Parts: sequence; C-alpha cells; structure tokens
Amino acid sequence: MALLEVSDLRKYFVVEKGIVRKNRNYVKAVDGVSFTLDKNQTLGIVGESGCGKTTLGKTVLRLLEPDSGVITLNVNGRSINVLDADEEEMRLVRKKMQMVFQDPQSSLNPRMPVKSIIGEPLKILKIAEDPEEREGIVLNLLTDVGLGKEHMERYPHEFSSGQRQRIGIARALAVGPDLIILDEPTSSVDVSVQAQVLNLLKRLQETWNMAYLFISHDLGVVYHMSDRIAVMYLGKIVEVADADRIFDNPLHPYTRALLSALPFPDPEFRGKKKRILLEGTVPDPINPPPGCRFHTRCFERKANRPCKREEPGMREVEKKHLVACHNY
Amino acid sequence: MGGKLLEIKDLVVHFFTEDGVVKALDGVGFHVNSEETFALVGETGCGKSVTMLSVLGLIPIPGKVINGEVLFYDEDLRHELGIGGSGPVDLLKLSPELMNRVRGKRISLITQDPMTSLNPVYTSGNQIMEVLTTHRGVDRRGAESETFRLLESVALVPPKQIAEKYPHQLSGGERQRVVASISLAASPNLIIADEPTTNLDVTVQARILELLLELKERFRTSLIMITHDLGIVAETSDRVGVMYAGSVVELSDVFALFKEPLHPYTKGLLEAIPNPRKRRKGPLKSIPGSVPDLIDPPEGCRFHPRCELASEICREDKPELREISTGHYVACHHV
Repeated sequence: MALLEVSDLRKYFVVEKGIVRKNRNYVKAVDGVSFTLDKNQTLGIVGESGCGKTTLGKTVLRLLEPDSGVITLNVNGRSINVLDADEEEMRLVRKKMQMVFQDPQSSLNPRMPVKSIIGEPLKILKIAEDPEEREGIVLNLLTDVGLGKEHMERYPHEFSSGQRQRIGIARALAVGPDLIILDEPTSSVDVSVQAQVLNLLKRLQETWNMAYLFISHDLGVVYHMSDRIAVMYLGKIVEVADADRIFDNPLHPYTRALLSALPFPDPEFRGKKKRILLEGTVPDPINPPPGCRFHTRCFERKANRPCKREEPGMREVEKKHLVACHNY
Repeated sequence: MGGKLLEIKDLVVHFFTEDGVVKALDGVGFHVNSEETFALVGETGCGKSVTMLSVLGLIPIPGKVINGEVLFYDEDLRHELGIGGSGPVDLLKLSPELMNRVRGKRISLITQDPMTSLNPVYTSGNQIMEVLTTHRGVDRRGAESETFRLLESVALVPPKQIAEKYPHQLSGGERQRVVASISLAASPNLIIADEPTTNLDVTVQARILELLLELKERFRTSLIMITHDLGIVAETSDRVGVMYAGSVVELSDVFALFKEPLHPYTKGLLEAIPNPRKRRKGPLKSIPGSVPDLIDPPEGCRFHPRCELASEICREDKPELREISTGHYVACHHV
C-alpha cells in the first residue's frame, strides 16, 4: 500500500477585478493532479515558476484547503482521508506529514529561541509535554542535523541560511514523520552549503525511514534526490517516471525542452547536445490554452492530433512511465 | 581572439560600515582578452560583483577603492577622451565626467534584475534611444530606426510595439532582452553581465544565454559573465576566474579548469554540484563550514579554515597566483 495517494487534486485561487462590476477569475494553480508515493521513497516535483508545485505541496498538507480531490495517507495500516479528517485524525496526519519551507528566514519565528522553535510541535501535538523531556529530544534533534547544545538558546538571526535550514529540518523531524514535503529546501543557499543540506537530507531519510516529496526547479538537484520524478506544467503533471528514465528517455516535449535547457557543468559537452529552445512564455494560468496546455509552445504538435481541442490524459506508455501527450 | 582588453591589477576595495571595515576585495587580478567570454564565478559575497562595479566606477558608498589599477587597452580611448600620453587607460584615475563617457559607451552592464535596471516610467524604446543620443550623437529620427534595429537583433518583434511598452508590460525574459539591446546600443568593447539569468526559468535562461553569445560574436565584443552557476560557466565561457572571499584563487582556460581543477575550493565546488550526467547519487562532496566574515577574515589564505590541506604556512601567508601550466594560475601553497 502506498504511503500517500493523491488523486485529482485541485486548488483554484480567486482573482477579482473591477470595483463596481466584480469580475471573478480563477487561477488554476493545481488542476487535477494525481500521484502516489511509497514508503521511504522520494518523489521529485519539478517545474518552472508558476507551474503550481509549491501550491501542490501546501495543499497536500492542507495548509491550503483544496477545492476538490482525494488525499489518502496510510498510517500504521490505517487509511486516513486527509480532506475529511476530524480533529483527532488531523493531529495524526500532522504527526506523520511535515514540511520544510523554501525560505528559512521567514519560516522560523524570529522571537523564539531554537529550543522553542523545535520544541513547539512536540508541545502542540502532545508528544512531550514535560519541558525537561522536551529539551532532551530537541538536543538530540539538533545533534542529528549537525548543530549542538550551544545553539539551543540562540535566535534565528544568529545563524547562517544553511544553519537555519537545518533548524527547519529539525523542527519537521521532531514529531517523527513518515513523510516530509521539502519545498525548494536549498534554493536560498550556495552550492557548497547546498551539498551539505542534500547530504544531510539523504542521511536522515535512511536513519528515520521517511518518504520525501521533493519540490524544486533545479533538475540536477531533483535527479540527485529522487527515485521518481514528476514534471509539472501550468498546474498539471505532464510526465512521471523513475529519475533515470526521465533523464535517459524523456517523452513529453516539455520535459525534453527542460532537460535540453539545463546547463551541464562540463565544457566538453558544449555544442554536442541539441538544444530545444521553446518559443513564447508560459501562458496565463487564469486563461490556460484549451486542449493540451503546452500546445502553444509545443514543437512536436502534429496536425492530425487533437492537441488544440482535447486535453491529453495520463497514460502508462512504458512500465511505470506515465505521460500526458497525444503523441504517445 | 585578440590581445588584452581589460586588465585588473591588485584591486583592493573596502567598505567602511558601522560594524567595521569589510575587506571585500583583497588584491584581485586578472585580464580579459578582446572578443572572449570571461566568466567570474564564486559564491555569494565572494566579491565578483564588487570587482565589476569597480571597473565601472560604481562602487556604492561606503565602499572605497584602496589600491589597484583597472587598465583598459584601447588605442582610441585616450584620443576620444582628450587625454594625452600613451598606453592603456587606468579607469580608476578618470574623473567622473570622463568615466560617464566610458560607461555605457565602451563598457556596458547587464544586471541581474532587469526590473530594477529599467526605468519604470519610460518606455523601453525611450531607454534605448537615450543611449543612442547620449553616446552616439544620433538625431531623434535616426535613433528611432536604430532602436528598432536593436530590438530586432535581440529577437523582440515587432519592434515598434515592443518599443512602446513599459517595463511592467514585458515578461522577465523580454525585459532582459531590452536590457541587452540597451547594453549594445553604443557598440561597446565590453559587456559585463552580472548574473543575467538568475531570476529566470531554465528554458528562458537557455534562450538569453544563447542570445548573449550570439550578440557577442556578431558585435565582436568581449563578455564578462558573472555567475555562481558552474553549468553556465561550462557552457558559455572561454576563460574563467574563480573567486573566494575577495580574491581570485584560480584562473584558467575553461576546459582545463573543469578537467583538472587545481585549487581545493574549485575542486570542492565542482564536486558539490549534483551532475545527472555522471549518474552518481551517493553523498556529494561538500565544503565544510561557510563563507568567512569579511570584517574579520582569516589570516593567510582566506580558505584555510575550510580546507582539508591547510597547514602552518596557509594560516600565516597569503598565497599568490602562480602559473602552473600555460595560462593556468592558482593561488594555493599545496599545488
């Protein structure tokens, strides 16, 4: 049984224009997304800005209330329907599903010492109500993420951005989750520090037996971290496959364009790969193109296919390799 | 590729802040040849942008150039500015008035964020024309047709419509193209691009990089690419300078640098990036610690607290750049 099953998830944001005559529009940030995530696995979600990957992460955790869809989390053999969960079930969901945010600067309370930041979820979810016990757990967590006792009483501003991200990770770990949603966890740090954080995340995943939903715009980082990769474009997943398959045999034209645009850190490859340059820009998500959302920029659109009219569904083209494109 | 165009010698820049003196540049030196792409790479705070701002004479208060020379090799420049003598011009010695005539004309800048480098209350066409009338003495009619030609050269079509748009009406990629056309307007010898694609998505980035290289070829300029992304370095540059905490620690031809990096910092950086081509998913090599505080930088080699090779001499003596093989320089006691 999969740890997390998401099916046909939708999250629309309302935009109102006009003062007298209200004009209601919807930004379809997440528009019918389905995926499954197994225990101890990492699913990478990759896409460009505005594709809805961050909204997806927050909606899965119900930090944003989805408009429709089903989210099922399996906890110790028990299936919880996250969107219908009562208070008691929701508490269990929060214990099992945690999040690390993109910007550790704004996701840590500047007025709290590290000790309280990491201790807070332990207190709220009634895991350790005794202050001394809590302090012991916090210290263990800090050591786990490479910080120490001397950091307990310090405030977020006294840390570097890499260290702050470690604190965010320790806070997510505090409740002993089965799944952590990582939203661009290294986009605010430099490469040398990024490597430290990625290594830490991999080590923790092994020792704590956790699954990750790893959201990033950086294909190299996503490849490094993920077992499977889902590519998003304009609110939809367009391709899902094992990480190696995505790199060896990308099928969706958008995935191919994305991969070909990735600069490789080796000058010997220069000029040796064919670069696919996409025309135009990402369409307005208020008014996405009819049919396949990628058709306006697609370089493989065939006249005899219904790209402009019909939205392509996800099809399993090869074993465990799904793609939403009329060409397959 | 021609001879030297720009040479920076022993550049020292300090910022006198309330918290203390930030020793931002600690003797930076390298040169750029004409018609080449030179990449300056390093992490946040290493001084790559400050180096280029000093070249342009744009170091903001409370920064000050303490020492060094920025030599511009162009035979006509002395004549054009009406200064006597011979040999290269030291840009740091020019008066603000003279520097105004170099900036934008001989050296132009493409910044990271086109939204802040474009003026929001003028149309894009207006901003291109301003460069033409200021530096090339073109009249208004001539400026207009030249503006359209420039917009076409950066693939913004139809140019007339784009010229009438204000920056907020353009997408991020389009804005960066407008900035590129402004930087080309006065046919400079050198374009400095400071993280030109950092705010853009990879598919847009690919197009902007392609465009910059194409323009560089077509207009026969030199390009200095400032970036933190080694992928961009590998794909665009001819020669590379690696900066760390205010110094150039390695200087080399791009192929040699990636094939045989010499400085422990360069090696660390190269091994720290996930490289899908290598199909390696094990732990990445990381550089321990973080970038030092430049108010109180480490003595000797500024990299020594994070270096696994560090020994007594590294703690005491700052290593100078030495040529190890032809054109490949490194500042390390252990190479």
